[in-house]
Amino acid sequence: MERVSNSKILIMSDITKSFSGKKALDQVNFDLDRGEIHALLGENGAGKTTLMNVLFGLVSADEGKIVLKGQEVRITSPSEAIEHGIGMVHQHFSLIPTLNVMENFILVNVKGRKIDIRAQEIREIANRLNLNINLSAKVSTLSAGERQRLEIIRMLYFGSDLIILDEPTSVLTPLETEGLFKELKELAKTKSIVFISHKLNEVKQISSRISVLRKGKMVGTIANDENATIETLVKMMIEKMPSVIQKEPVEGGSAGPLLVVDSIRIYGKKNEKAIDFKPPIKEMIIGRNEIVGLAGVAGNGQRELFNGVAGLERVHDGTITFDGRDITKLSIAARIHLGIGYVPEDRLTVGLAPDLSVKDNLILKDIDKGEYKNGFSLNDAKLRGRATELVKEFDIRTQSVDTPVRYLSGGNLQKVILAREISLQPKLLLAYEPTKGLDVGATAFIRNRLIEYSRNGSVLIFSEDLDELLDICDRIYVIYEGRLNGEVRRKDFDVYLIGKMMGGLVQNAN
Amino acid sequence: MQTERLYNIVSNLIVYILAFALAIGLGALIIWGFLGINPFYSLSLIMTTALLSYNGLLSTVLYLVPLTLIGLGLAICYKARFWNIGADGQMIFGAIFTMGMALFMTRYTYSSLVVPLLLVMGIIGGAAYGLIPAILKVKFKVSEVLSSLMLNFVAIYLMTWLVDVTGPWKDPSSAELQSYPLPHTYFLPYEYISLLAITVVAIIIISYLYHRTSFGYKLKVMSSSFQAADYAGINKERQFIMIGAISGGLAGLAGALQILAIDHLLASTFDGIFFGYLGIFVAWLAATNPVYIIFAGLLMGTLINGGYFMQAISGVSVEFVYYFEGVVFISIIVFQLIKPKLRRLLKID
Repeated sequence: MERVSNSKILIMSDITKSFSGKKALDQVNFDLDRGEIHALLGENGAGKTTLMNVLFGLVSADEGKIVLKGQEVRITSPSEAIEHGIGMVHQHFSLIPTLNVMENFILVNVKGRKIDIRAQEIREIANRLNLNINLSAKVSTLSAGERQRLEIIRMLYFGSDLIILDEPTSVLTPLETEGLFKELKELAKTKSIVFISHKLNEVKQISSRISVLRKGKMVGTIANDENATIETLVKMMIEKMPSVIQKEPVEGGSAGPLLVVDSIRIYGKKNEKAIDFKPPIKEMIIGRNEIVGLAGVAGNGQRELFNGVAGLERVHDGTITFDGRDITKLSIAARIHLGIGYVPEDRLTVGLAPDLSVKDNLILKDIDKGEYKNGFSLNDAKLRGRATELVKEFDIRTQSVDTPVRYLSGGNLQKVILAREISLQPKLLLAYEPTKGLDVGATAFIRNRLIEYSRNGSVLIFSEDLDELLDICDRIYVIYEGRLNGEVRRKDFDVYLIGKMMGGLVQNAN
Repeated sequence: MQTERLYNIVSNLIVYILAFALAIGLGALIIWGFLGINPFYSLSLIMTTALLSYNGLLSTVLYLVPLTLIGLGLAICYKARFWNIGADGQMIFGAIFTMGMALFMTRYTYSSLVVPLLLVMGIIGGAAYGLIPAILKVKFKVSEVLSSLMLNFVAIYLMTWLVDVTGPWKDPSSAELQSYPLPHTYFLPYEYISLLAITVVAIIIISYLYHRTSFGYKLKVMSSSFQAADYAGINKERQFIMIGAISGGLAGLAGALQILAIDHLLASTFDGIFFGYLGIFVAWLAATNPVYIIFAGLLMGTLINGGYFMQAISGVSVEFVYYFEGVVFISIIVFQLIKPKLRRLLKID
């Protein structure tokens, strides 16, 4: 049912934007009612953030017009957007961690407005939303949820009545997410909210209308009622569902554990304890042919743990035993040789040498092997043959094996890494967010390869997408503030239990 | 991909042409405005004397060879982001080792193998000296910029002491601060041909190392991303050690050739600094590509050698060449900024 047009706070019509000749947005129409939560749903790369960046003045559209509160506007910078009452909370927060809360308010530069920040007013806004805020706390001491709240309050303080939230739950635990949703519903009584997400259940839960973007095109806008089922939304989001194979469960191997990480301690850059395994769960054990998941909100030590096992980070205390051998002090090369493969977080500068070709990157770890050498020289024909085979087997879309990898798309970059790591047939594959930012097709491909691979080896996988872990893992460890806060077997998998563990609320010793 | 490669070549070409045009244009203005000399005549002298006359061409070779050898070694260093600025010291050490061995041998014996042996001594001397900053970096995390720079002074003063009035190598029969001369039998035979042949062989060896061996492959990975190199288990420390030895060895070889083919003695005026610093320029000008080094070396050699002719004939001081080098160097760096604009202009996006 169509409402009268003056109830629309925002109408964006025929927005088109191209990057490098590719249309990121193609004649997109979008509108927002006063006092609604409108979800913008779509896969990664569908154009959700780009569309909102156009509104917020971060990206200038090639074509199209924006009507805000009944008037056509041209917004060329974020400060203009703020002036117009638009606020945006980005996926990566725009707060300065070394400053305190108050100072972060002063930072916002609003054109034509005297900077006169009143602590009292900030408190009033916070109180109206039942939020606690300590104005003299350093931002670096706040949790992700608190920072997000701070961003929202900051937007409200500067008079935003249209608030854009870009993937707000990606940094939150399930409990924090619940809290955020309560606040948003409260907020929507007076403000209009755009909620960007690719998570279907959240969108169902929070929004009054749902718009779906696919590959830069608006597929449609539907009211969030009983007709808007998850299946309908999925069909709108993706063209065809990829098939996903199922993991066959394994129960405790006979040959003894493959990896035991016992009581280790790793210090971070600021000398803080990034990893500190201690009782009740002081050991992380990975059995043979097991897929073990690591759940946790990003920044709780996952990176350090993975790097510690791979040898990229120094382990200060405790032992790592791999295949019955103490590898705590071994070099990275020695660990690779023993059979530890790694799909790292940062694909383009750690997992790959960006300026080198697809071929050179595929053979990155073969270079010192005798079989690829002709005396002193490298056997180029043989290396090229191996690379060509992998490109075919892993369906890597590239013009040629000589293309520098930095020209490849995210999904193909990940396929290059995965092809290399899996083809080396390691006993253990460490996979850090292997499907992050990939579209549904590439995600399914990579999940399937991991599951297939677990017939020959073990996998330790970290993913922020809890559903992904629940789908493919035999067991899940929960990491919280650098320690193991829980261990859950497949038969006991429960989103809420794991969610609470991720927030540090419960601990279990088993 | 094809357009990308083409774009890279075209945009680099445009940047270089602009840099040289700016240097020549500004230089012409200076020569004409301050000195009142016809700039086109002076500048054309550089080309005609250094490249188009037989004697000029021969003396250009004497600059081209050390510049190319040093540039080649530094190119390898800079690929791996090992900021060796100590080629001067490494060249001097090569010269000292060569001269020392020569003086030692003249007392005892002579064999036809003496020249190759002396060349090898130069390489060893330079390599040993190049290893010092590499080892300091790997073992104690000492910045190679500081250590290699400081070692230059050590080398210079060691050399000065050797040939000083009371120095052990001082030739008492000479009024100059210089060593005993080499016997004629120790000179590099067929000097120009040998110099060029040795240079070409060095380029071939380095290109082979770079393109066809795991050492070169690892260098490329390091050049692209240190983190990727770590991740792949590449032993960066070992690479730095090898790089230090190779670049030092090449500079040392340049020092040995300077003694055996040109100076025939070690004098306190031995100009390591000159070649060491210009070698940095040569390496950058060739975008650290081993194959382009010889062209960059040729260009620099021509400018310097022609610069002396220009000074003698037209009165424009040879220092003009250093001005020229400086402007080109800075312009190439600054003009990198126009590459994104060029990209839009050429409609690559």
